[in-house]
Amino acid sequence: MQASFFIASDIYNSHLNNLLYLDGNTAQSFSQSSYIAINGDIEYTASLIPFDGVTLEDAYKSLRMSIKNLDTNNITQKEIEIARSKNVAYTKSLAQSPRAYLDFFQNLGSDGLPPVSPKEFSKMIANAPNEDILKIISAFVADSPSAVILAKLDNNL
Amino acid sequence: MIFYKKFYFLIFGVFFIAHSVLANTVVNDDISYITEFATLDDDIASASLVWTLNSKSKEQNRKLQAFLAAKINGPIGRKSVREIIDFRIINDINFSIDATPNHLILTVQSQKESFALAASHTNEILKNTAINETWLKRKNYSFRNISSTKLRTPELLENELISYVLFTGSDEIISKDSINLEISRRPNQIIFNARNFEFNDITNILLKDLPTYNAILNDEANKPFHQLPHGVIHLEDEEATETLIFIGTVQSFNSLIHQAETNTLFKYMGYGAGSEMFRIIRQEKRASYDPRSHFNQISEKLAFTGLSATVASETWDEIHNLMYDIYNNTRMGLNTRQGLKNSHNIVINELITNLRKKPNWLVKRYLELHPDQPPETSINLELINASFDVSPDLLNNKAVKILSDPSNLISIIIGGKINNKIRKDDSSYCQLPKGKSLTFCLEKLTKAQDSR
Repeated sequence: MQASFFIASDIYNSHLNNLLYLDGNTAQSFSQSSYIAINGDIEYTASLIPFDGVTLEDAYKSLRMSIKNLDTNNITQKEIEIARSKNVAYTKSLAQSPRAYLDFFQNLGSDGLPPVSPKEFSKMIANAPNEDILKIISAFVADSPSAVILAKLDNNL
Repeated sequence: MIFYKKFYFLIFGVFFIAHSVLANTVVNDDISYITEFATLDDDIASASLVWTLNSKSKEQNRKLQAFLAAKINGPIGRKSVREIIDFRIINDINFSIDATPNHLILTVQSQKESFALAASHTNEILKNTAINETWLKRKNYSFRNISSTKLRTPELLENELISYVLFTGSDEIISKDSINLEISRRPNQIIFNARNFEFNDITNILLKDLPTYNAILNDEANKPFHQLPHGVIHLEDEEATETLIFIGTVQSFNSLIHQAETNTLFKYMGYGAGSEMFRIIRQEKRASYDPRSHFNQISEKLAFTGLSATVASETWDEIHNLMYDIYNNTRMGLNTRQGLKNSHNIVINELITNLRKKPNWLVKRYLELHPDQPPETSINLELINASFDVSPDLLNNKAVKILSDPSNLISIIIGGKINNKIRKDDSSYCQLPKGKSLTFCLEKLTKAQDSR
C-alpha cells in the first residue's frame, strides 16, 4: 500500500509538473505534496508562483483546469516503471546519511504507515502491483472538497 | 607528477582522516588544471568545474549564475526536461551552482558507482549551446536581487552587505551571446573530491569536444573590496510591527588562528540554543524568535560577522542595546568555560560537515588560495589545523584582542521609530530614505568617514 502510494503520487505530481512548470510557462515555481490523512483520505497540496506575465487569476485557472482535465487513462507502463525506479533510487540514497534515514521514517510515519527499513521498502516498491497504483491515481483525480488561498504582494519585490 | 598531503585529526577519540591529493597534470593542452581532494563521505564523488570569470558587479554575477542554471535546467536537443529530471533522480545526480567575484563554479555530485554517467551527462549539458528562453527568463527571476529593506530577513541583509563588500565595479550589461560563448569553453580548473576513487577517465569524459580558448569577458582585474563603515543606518518605518536589527562588520584576520578564534566567539554569542543571544533575547526577554550570530568566510582571512534579531518594533532600541551588551561582555572575556568549549566543538563539527558533505565549501577555500591554478608543491589548508588549535580556555584572556572594538561596528535597523539617543552626526548616522537601497547609506557613511 505505502509503496503503491509513493509511486502513484510520483506519477500524479509529474503529470501536473509537466503541464504547469516543465513544459508550460504558467509557473515560476511549483511544489506539491501528498499524504494519507488519519481517516485514510489522500490529502494533496499544491503551491504555485505565477511566471512573469501570468496573472494570479490565470495561473489559478490553469492549475484548476490541469487538475480537472488530468487524463489518467493513458498512463503508460513505461511511466509506471520510471516512477518505480525513481523511488528505488530514493530509498538507496537514504543510506547516505542518518538524517535522510530519519526523514524517511518521518515521511512514512506522517502517512500513518508502519516503519519499515529502506531496504525492505525498496522491495515493496519493486513489487507494488500496477492495479493498486492506478487505483490510487484515480483517487487523486476524483472530485473532492478543496480550499484555495490566493495571495498577492502589495509591493514589487 | 602527483603530491600527497595527509591530515589526521583526533576528535572525541575518533580519528577523522582527510587527505588532499594534488595532481598538477595538465590535460592535453594548458587549459584545464586538475586538483583532487579526498574528504567527502564514503559513497559520494563530486567534480567542480571552475571558470575563471570576473564579475564587476553583483548583477553581472547573478546573470552568469542564472545563465548556467538555465543551461542545466532546460531541455537538451530532443530530450525533454521531464526525461532529464527523471534520469537525474534515478541515477542520483545533483548539480549546484556557486560563484565568487572571480569564478563561476558548477558542481556535479553523485554516488561513486554512477559518477562516470554523471560526468558524461555534464559534458552533454556543457556542449549544448542552445539556451531555452523560457528557462533563462525563469532563472533570471530566481536569481534576481531582492532588497533586504523590502523583504526583511537577516539572510537577505547578510547577502546584500557581502555583495556590497565584494562587488565593487560598475554594472555594465553583458550580452547573452557573450555569456554563452564564455560558458561553452573548457573550465579553467576542475576540482574533484571523493575518497578511494580513481578519477582517471572522468576528466576526459567531462571535457570531451569542449573548445579551448581564453576568457573573453572582463579579463581585467576586479577592483579592491569595499569596507563596511561604522555607525548606524536606520530605515524608519512606523507602520512595521517588526524591526530587524543587525550589528556587525566585515572583519579581516591577521592569522588563521585569529579567524578560528573569532568564529568560536561568534558561535558563543549566537549559535543555537546554548548561545547568549538565544538565552537572553529569546528565552529571558521573549523578544525575538530568530536571534543569532553570523560568521561567513567571504575571502581569504576575511569574514562577515555580526549579530541579528527580529523584534517587535516598540522594543528595538532596548534589544539593540542588549545586543551590544552581549557583544561587549563576550569581548571583555566574561564567558563560561563550558560555553566556550561547546562553541569550539560547534566550530569543529561545522568544519567536518563542510569537508564531508559540502564540496563547494572546500572548493571556495581552495580557490581563495589558488585562484588560477594549483600550486607547484602542495595545498596547505591551514585553516583546518588552525581550527583545531584554538584553546577555548585561553579565549577569555584574548577576547578583547580577538573581536573588533565596538566602535567599528555598523548597526542596521530596518523598521521602527527613530531613536534620538543614537542619532548622531552625519559621519556616523544615516537615515535611509524609503525606496533607496542600503548602498545609499553605506556609501554616504564611508565618504563622511574617509574625509575625516
